[in-house]
Amino acid sequence: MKLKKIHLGSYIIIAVLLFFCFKLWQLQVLEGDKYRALSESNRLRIVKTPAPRGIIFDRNGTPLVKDVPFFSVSISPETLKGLDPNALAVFLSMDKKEIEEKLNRKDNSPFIPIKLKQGLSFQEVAHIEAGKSDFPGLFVETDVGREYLFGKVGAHIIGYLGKMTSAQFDNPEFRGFPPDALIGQWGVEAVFDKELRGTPGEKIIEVDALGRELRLIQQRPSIKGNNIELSIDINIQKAVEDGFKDKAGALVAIKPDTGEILALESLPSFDPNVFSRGITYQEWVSLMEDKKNPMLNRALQSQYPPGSTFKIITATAALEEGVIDLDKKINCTGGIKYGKWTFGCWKKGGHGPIDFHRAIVESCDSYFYEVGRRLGIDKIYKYATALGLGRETGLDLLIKERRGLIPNTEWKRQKKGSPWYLGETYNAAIGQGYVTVTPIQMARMMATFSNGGTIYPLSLLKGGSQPVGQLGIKPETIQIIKEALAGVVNEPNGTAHAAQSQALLIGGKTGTAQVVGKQRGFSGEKYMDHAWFVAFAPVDKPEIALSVFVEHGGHGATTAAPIAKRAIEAYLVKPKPVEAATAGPIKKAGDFPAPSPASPGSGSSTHGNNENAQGDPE
Amino acid sequence: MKQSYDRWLLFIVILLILVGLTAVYSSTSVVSPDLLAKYHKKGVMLSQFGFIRKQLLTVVLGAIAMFAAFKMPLGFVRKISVPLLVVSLVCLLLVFTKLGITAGGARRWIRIWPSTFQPSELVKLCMVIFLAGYMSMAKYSKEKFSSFLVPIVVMGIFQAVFLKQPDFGAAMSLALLTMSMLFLSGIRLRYLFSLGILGIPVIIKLISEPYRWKRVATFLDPWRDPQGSGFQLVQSFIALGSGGLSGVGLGEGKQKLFFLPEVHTDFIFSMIGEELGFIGAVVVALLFFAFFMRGISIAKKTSEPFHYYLAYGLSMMIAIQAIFNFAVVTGLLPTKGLPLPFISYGGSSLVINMTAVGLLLNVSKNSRQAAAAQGNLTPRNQSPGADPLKVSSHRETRMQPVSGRSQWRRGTGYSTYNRRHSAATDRVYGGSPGAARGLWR
Repeated sequence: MKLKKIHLGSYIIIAVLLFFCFKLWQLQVLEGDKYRALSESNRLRIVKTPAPRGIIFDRNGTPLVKDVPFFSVSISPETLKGLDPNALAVFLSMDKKEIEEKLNRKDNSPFIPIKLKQGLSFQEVAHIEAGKSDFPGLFVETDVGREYLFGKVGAHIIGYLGKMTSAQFDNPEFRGFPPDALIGQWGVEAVFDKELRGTPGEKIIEVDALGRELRLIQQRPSIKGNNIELSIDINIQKAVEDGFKDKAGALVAIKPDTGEILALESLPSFDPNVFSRGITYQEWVSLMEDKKNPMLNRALQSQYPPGSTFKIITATAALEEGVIDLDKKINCTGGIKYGKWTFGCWKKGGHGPIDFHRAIVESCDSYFYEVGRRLGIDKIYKYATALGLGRETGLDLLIKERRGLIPNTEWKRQKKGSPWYLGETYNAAIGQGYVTVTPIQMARMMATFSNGGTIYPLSLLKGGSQPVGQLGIKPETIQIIKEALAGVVNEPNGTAHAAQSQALLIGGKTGTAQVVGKQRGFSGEKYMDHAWFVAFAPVDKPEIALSVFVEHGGHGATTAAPIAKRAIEAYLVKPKPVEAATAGPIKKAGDFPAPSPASPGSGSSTHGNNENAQGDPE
Repeated sequence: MKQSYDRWLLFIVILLILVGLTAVYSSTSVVSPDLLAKYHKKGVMLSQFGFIRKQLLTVVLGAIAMFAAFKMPLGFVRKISVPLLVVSLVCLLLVFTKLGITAGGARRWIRIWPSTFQPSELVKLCMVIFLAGYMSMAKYSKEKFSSFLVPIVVMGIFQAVFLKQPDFGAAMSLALLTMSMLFLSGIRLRYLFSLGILGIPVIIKLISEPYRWKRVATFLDPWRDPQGSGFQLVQSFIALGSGGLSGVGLGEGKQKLFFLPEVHTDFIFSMIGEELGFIGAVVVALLFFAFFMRGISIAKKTSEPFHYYLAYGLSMMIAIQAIFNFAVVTGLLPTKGLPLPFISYGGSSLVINMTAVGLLLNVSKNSRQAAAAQGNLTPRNQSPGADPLKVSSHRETRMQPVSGRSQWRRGTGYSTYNRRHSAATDRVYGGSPGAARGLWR
């Protein structure tokens, strides 16, 4: 054999490699254009498959929301070349500018479809499906939208789902979200967005030049978001919504022994379904310009003088500090004189000699002027702040909560640059003057007070949380005041007789916040006083504590107290099941046959209670 | 005396590995969602650097293996060639046990915590070592049919396992490797031809299996079903074609985004062709060619039959894999699971190939030492940078008879040396390089 075999091997390898290079030349250089064209026609489309959002339940397991399909129309970025934006704008009945703005966004990915219009109706979807062959790359996407089953009821707490705002778009938490992603924007939907959200799936499909789906390349299923169980009871919310009728205001109900929010209603409310459908600009403007301000969460964001409901705090301070003798009566002559001013009692002509219990039951202002004088503002300040007034409750609804104001001498000197006057103490002692509170603060005050002084953080989730502190108020103090508050509702001459329930024993306190201007002779609804009512029930072992605030409601007893009663009954008096024997822990009707635990000799005064503190020194 | 080895070979291999790392990064830095999902199921979170990090680790492992192979006495390697082959067979059989991993209907991997291993790669290396050992044995005779039969039977055992897995690609490359080494040893061509004729019914039987027939049919005309069975090949063409002369630019390739399956392993060359164009692809092909020529020159320079066959076989092993891979991506061969040596992502192939490089360097070191020991007749003018094609001149300078052993160096060339003499020296010196060197000194 002449040919060296090792060289033969090399020659074969060389020949093969040469042939191979020739083949490469043919593929890459000679036929390159053909393959480049084919490469262009390789069209990938990444379609996000939306994750079903977690369902929000109330504390009884009633679903509050439902996932519904949310249609939007998108276009694939590769098909944009040669697209006529005018024709597209006409086809989608959109503004041309808006379309161009969306198509030319800098952060558009070359593979992720661009959303053009969201919240399509079924008619629009049909229209697009029928005519989309004129626009390669146009297709309808189905996203997960929300239907809020109770509409306006509880809207402030449940919240809504909406398009990402520009601030959220820049937020690293939402990195990787498409710019038109629907995320929780309000209430629980926003607070627990992460839990509810789920993980969207992804479908990579290949489409031909006409946008027809050729094949599914890869699919990753979506993962449903977590359900959450709220502490609220939708029955209370509904009862409250009905109870307010057309009035504006707020109600906050708390479970005293856990800190769970049982109800939080702010009225007028809005319909979250408008948002989840994709709110139009006009709808947004009309919501924002509504004089009644439905987007304001009055429970957390409106602050008013608490009126006589504040007497609970003054009374607590009085007993704890020992400035009064329970049995010693103070003579009410219809007001007191201080310098050139008169501080009147709401009862013209006065209550006469009155003791501690009756002073609360009948809400005697003169008695509390005297109590306030003996305590001084700084003692009142101490107990008011201990009960959570003058600072945020910390309930996180992602809105700016207002703090209200509890004045003291220090504050007066710093803010006003002047010393504290006794007249201002008189006003503060009956919850007027500088004192302002929010409805949620008052509800929490009532909850803390009624459970014996244990402070719980407020919670929107069922189960509540561990207590964070103890007030250290003597149990006798609480017991005495609780009895008086039960008297307010249940004794014949109590100021909140309207809240008396046949089913269970409610304790509470009415209040009226003055509207500036009334004294100047204006009249009409706009200048009616605001009505307050704080309550808890059942008195011996409270399961619910609440505050009701009715804007321009007039007297606390006539407008606010009946709403509180409705709310309490909605929570505690459930329609009896057939096997009534297993009614559970709920206090049954008839346990408290409307007797008053209060002292007998109560005067048979009228129900025409008119609380009013007069003589603002300013 | 300064130890020396073929630095050019090492340089080429390092270049190839660097090209490979770049290509693997380019093809895997854009993590496709399907891969993400696939790995997510296994509890691995993929990042942009997930693949490249693992590949870098493999390179380190490969470098250790290469160094070990470089330092290992070749006589020892020869001694353990049969046990090594048995070990590789056991490894190969392990794929049928619980350790085996089934993927895509084939059992080709075994699990070695924390990674996986493809025994067919080890088999190729062990087969080369075994054949080199066998052919350099005294009783081996190119004239005897029995000498031909033993490698064929051994190969047949492995082929049976490969076809059972099934791994048609490994079977084909092992057959080609064995044949080429038998051919080199000067075995009678009629034996090889008769084997080829015997193989025809086997090939017909294999092709008659529907999926394989489909594959062959697809290969013959991928455009018949570009969305189905022809998809991968068509996408490979599109990748290469859209690269043109100079490529779309590193990292700019589009085909790696979901279109071209296995782009970071078997079809990485398509991506190189797309991103670096014809020029880049040819440069890679030339690197393999240079590697092969260096390997052959190492073989030709050695004076030991075992070293000679070993070097030739190892060079051939890598060249065959590269050529098979090139052929597959350009549609010259039906699709197989054959990685491109040094470049494709994958641990087994890289570590084994780097071990092979270590052995090659070992051989080059030994022949240089031998040459230098040869009475300084060859002042080390054969520097590492010498043209691999010019080795013949060097061989002539070594034609001086130094000992009886040099006799087999005469004649028509290494491949036709006198077997009897070789057998005699082997008997006397046990074929150990150390013993041989002792004689030369």
